Amino acid sequence: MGKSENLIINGSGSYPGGRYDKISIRGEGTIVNDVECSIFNVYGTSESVENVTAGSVKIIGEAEFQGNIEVKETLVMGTMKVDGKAYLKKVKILGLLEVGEKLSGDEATIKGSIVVNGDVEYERFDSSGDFEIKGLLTADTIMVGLRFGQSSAEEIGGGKITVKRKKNSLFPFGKEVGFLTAKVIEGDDVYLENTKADIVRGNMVKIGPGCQIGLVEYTNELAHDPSSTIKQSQKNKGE
Amino acid sequence: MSEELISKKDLLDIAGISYGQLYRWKRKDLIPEEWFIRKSTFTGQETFFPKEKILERINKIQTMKENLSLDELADMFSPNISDLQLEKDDLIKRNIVSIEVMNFYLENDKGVKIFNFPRILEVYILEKLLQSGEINLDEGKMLLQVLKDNAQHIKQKSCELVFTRKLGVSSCLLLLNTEAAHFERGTKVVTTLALMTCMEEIKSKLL
Repeated sequence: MGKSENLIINGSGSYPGGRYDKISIRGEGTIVNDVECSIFNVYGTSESVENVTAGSVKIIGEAEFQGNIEVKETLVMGTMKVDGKAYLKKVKILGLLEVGEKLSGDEATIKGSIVVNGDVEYERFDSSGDFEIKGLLTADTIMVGLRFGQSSAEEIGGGKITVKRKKNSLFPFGKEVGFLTAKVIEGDDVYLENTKADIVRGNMVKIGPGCQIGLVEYTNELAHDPSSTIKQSQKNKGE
Repeated sequence: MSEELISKKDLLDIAGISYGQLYRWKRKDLIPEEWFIRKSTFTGQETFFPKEKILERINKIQTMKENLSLDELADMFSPNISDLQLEKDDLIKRNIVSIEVMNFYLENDKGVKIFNFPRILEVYILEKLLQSGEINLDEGKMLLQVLKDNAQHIKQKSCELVFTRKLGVSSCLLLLNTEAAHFERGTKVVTTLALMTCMEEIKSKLL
């Protein structure tokens, strides 16, 4: 296989898919078939009708992927929308990412926002932005810094789950604080602040300030900040 | 749907695993999504599993994870087996290939002794047809040629291998997503083989 060509769209145009080395879209570009490339950069507006596989994706403008997407390294500073499934191995979101089905990968850093209609599966999920997840959020390590806005997930599950409120670094004097809502949170080691959940289950559960929890089921230890409410707690029988 | 269910809490207790492990296995697709049955109970929402299946699967994972990495295990349980890699000896030990066929394969394919799934499939098909006596060694070479040249088609689509012979001249072809195929009169269709079925057979031998 020879070296692949580059596809550079300056202006506007519609192009077939195929295999490229580098794709760079500065104006407005549409790619109508499956595409495979090592670099995919969007500075303007792009639309991909079918599936995309790429080594790295950088979105500074706006990109819409109507199929599925699989990328090793992703950086979103603008808006990225995926209608299907997204496998983003290593992803950093400073702008907005919307996924129609499942979002998965190894490492996610969210400083902007994500909206996912399906599940989110990572090994490490680190958010200091906000998220709205309609399915399950699962990762080995989940670190959530609540800076602003409402974050929510139907369920959260994993090994170590830490939710902390954070001062807004841009406007440190603002009153606004972030809040997390979930129906069920399950983990081995759980620490929560500013969280509203129906059920929290875990081995070590620490409920910090600002929480409203319906039921806590724990195996080893439960710590409870007086400013939080826990309606009911229950210790599991040890092995 | 009368199978017995077990709640997640009881499962963790019985199997002696942690939430982290369970979720990790779920992420790696070691435990199928359908087994997570969400129900409302008087305490709120709980997840249940089909008891027998999940206990058997966890048992399998726990015994096999000493020898295989989680990713290898995942390949084994999931229909997607792209990254699986095995040694030559493993294949012989697991009765996927006989020694004779393996040697014949390696003579024709000067690859390394590590087998990824496409190569396992090739050698398995070869084994199957040679052992059943439907093809001879020369035809085996032709077969390998066809499989190798079309490796990228085999991966995704439902694919059938057809072996024909007419007046002693044999030929071999691959059908991709075909409904039916018709041949010239006098052509003897020696064998047709659905590759999906072969893949499943291999997987069941690996498990």
